Amino acid sequence: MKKLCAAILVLTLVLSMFTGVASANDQRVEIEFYVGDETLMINGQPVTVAKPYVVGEGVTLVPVRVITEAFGAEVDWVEETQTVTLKYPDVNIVLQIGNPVAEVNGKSETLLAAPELPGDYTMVPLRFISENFGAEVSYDEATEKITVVKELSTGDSSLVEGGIEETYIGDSYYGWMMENPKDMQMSKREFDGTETRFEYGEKNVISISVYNISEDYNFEKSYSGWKDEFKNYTLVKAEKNTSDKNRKYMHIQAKDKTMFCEVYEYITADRAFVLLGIYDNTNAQDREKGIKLLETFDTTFTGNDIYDLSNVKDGYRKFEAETLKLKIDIPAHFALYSDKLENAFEFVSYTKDDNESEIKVEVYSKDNVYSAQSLATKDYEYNKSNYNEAVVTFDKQVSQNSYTNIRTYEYSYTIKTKELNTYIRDIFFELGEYVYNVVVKVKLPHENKEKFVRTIMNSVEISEINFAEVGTLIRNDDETEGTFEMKGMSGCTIVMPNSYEELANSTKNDVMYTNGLVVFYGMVYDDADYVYTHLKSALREYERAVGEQGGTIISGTADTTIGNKKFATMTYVKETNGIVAYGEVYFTTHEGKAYAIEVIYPQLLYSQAAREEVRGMIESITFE
Amino acid sequence: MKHIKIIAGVLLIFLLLSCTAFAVSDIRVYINGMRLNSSVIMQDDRTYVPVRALCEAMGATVSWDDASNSAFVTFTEEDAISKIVSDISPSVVTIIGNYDGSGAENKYNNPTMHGSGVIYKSNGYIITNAHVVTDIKNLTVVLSDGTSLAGKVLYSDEAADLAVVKVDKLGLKPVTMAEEATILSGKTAIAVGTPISLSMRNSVTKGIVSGCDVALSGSHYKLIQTDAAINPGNSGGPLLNSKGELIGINSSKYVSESIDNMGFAIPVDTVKFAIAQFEKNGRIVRPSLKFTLEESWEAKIGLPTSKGITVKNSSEPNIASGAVINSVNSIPVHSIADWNEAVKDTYNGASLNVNFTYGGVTADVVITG
Repeated sequence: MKKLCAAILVLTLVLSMFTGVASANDQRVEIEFYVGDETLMINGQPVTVAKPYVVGEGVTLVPVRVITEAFGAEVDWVEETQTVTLKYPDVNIVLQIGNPVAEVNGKSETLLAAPELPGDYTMVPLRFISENFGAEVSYDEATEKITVVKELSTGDSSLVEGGIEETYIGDSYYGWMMENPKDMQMSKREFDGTETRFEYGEKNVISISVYNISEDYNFEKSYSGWKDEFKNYTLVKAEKNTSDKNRKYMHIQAKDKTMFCEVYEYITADRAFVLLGIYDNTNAQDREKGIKLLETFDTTFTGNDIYDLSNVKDGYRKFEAETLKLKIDIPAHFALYSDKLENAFEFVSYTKDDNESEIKVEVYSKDNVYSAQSLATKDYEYNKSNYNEAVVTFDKQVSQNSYTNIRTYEYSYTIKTKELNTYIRDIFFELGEYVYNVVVKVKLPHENKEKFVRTIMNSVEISEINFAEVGTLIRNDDETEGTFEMKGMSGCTIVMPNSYEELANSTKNDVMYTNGLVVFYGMVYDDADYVYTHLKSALREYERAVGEQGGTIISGTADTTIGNKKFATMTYVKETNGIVAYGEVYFTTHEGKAYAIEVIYPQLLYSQAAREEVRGMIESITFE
Repeated sequence: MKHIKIIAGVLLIFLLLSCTAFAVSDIRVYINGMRLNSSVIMQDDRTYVPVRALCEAMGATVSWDDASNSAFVTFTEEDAISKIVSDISPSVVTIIGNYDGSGAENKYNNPTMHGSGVIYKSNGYIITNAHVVTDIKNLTVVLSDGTSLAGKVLYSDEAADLAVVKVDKLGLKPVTMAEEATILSGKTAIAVGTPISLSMRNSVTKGIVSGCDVALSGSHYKLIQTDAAINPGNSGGPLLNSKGELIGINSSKYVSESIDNMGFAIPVDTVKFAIAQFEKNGRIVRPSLKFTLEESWEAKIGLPTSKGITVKNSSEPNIASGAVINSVNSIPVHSIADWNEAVKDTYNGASLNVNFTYGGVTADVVITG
């Protein structure tokens, strides 16, 4: 009887406390208390009940009221069987006093300790019930505080997505669209959007390429060129339409037993679109699918049931090199020129007015050798000494700069020749084990080259590269050291730097050597008995000829002593086929033989360092 | 006599119907862990349950024949297995998601991938293979009744190939884990999952345990080998014994395409170990060693050997390269898998007792890591 009364008492107490407690499953729940302390903080309110205590191997028991109050669960008590049923949305827990086997939604689970009824309050295992109700229980050893928290569901995760559902796909930047080939796989989409490729059914390929119209493009030649490509096929269709100057069109189809090919060209005012379809001619379904798809292509981007493939945002595309953990914004009119290497990328401007501007990104290991500063200084000094100071102007020094995410060492220089007018900024920065080099080349005149570079560099985002994944990256600075003795000119030896190599068409007494930049011509005449005065007048003749051909004489024929040998020398500059080059001529004799040396320098590289290197070669000449 | 029997029978039923108040006992009957949902009667120290309720709970069939006044119960092994499977189904989930790759092609093609998983805690904790949930986004868990829930990867360990996914749902039916000692070669193994296509959700294959403690190259820990068909989709799903208890988590990572009927599962003890480590440390804590290990050629090809494992590239002051380790924490090790298993079972989080032989001398040393 006493037990029954007690049970009823507990029940009424519980029920009376049950007013106004929302029992939704997504309420935040928090319980804080100390073992042995009869006041617990339940959802911010102090509640005084029986003292929680620990039994067995660290199982904390709390009065059932703690659970129902905190979670808003319903409780049923059956006196005869001493069974407590806790009801919570989706979860029903059945416990029995003294019974270590409990039930969760009908499934038996063995508790570490059984519920107890030591006095007036039914004590139930806290962790077991809380966890089943979706809360986390934690114990702070230092303070001996027990905390039970059930967080609100964040609901920020999304369900799995299917494919692109729109009826059309296209590229808003280049301006084209076609029906969305939902059952084809996109096998390629270039970073700069210049090619989009689809494949289906193992043998079928469709490709859409975008080009700038080059100066020498000829519509009719291209048309007959395509027909020529298909000369070993049966032509199925060959039509063209040039009535609209801003949208010329050609369509050619050809086939053989196994393949069906077609090509479309759409030529608009600024671009050329070339569509290629290669289908399995043995499968009519595959063939028709491709043909029908390309028929839906158009050089426009309209409507709202269209998926935009273009990655252009505010005039830029975000380039991401995954393993190098680098992101950089590239202007939309730049194309990805090369990404063959893992650590180097080159982007080139791709418009009618500018196909010179460039952005290059390279990454190297520091390897305890380089740092951003040392590389910047090294390149600055190397370039400064190797470029012709008359046409290339460098910053006074390497300077520091900072952008949104990086701090850099950089320098810039401007090249101004007849053909080129370019501004180059060479930027270096580092993170972790690696150094980064970004070179921005801007074709001048440019409305705001500083802003151009700054916008790009402010977009650079880098995070530490995983060395285990990427490894060592070494910069290939092709600096060959040392010298060799060139004996190709009979009777003399010239010491040349190892960077010079013989050009294939050297013959005895008529040698050509180059280091890739400067060309060294050497000839020996031994068909007569030459005297110095002969050579000097020959050189004057040559000087006159150069002048007649449009060259400018920088220093006329004169006697120059180089390495205690007397040479007749002359220097000139001449433009041939649009390329400006400098020439230095050295004539001398020895024992009746005439020696004629001409060194040609491209204008850009007619630097003091280059001239000194050649001077060193001339100085080194020794006769037998 | 017949009449008396009939009357007695009727009386018993009558008693059953009318005497619920005091005859109903608080005795609960569980069949394979599930509460038998009917009245249980205690009489003369014997427990009585209705035949039909018991049969249905066990998967047996019962038919009543009026003419002979008899109940016929048929119960085959198959009935037991199919009941186990239908009981376990609510604990098996399908995990699907999109590949988390960059690239415009990926975004367009939007490939989906899928595997299976097992619920091990009723408040939404699911165990699966790590390789099922690597590089996955928009992870979605599909329950056996078709409900789709968004899921989140909480923990993952590539070496053990185990991961924990959490969904926001209470009252799910967790699986019961078997005792590892009960897993023996020859016993029934049932794999449940979603092989190949999502239309095959909760597909069941049955075989036997072909081998325990199998060391496979590519697997950090030892595996259970089974001939129950394990395909890429049922990776992460449960391997169960004939009681419906979890004996392993299937992993298609170790399946060779050219071999038939050879599937592998991660044993339940490794699963329990991983779960305990995830809950305690958020990851599996392994010793960081200042050396690498190499096993003997016999161990590499799987022959039993008494040779130990050799230490290489050692920067560990207490053990030089070339030393041969015989045991760790008193557990003999003859292969790298042995080492991994021994560490898994006994690593205390701070140090290891290593017995090794070097230059003919055997010694014991404690290494920290």
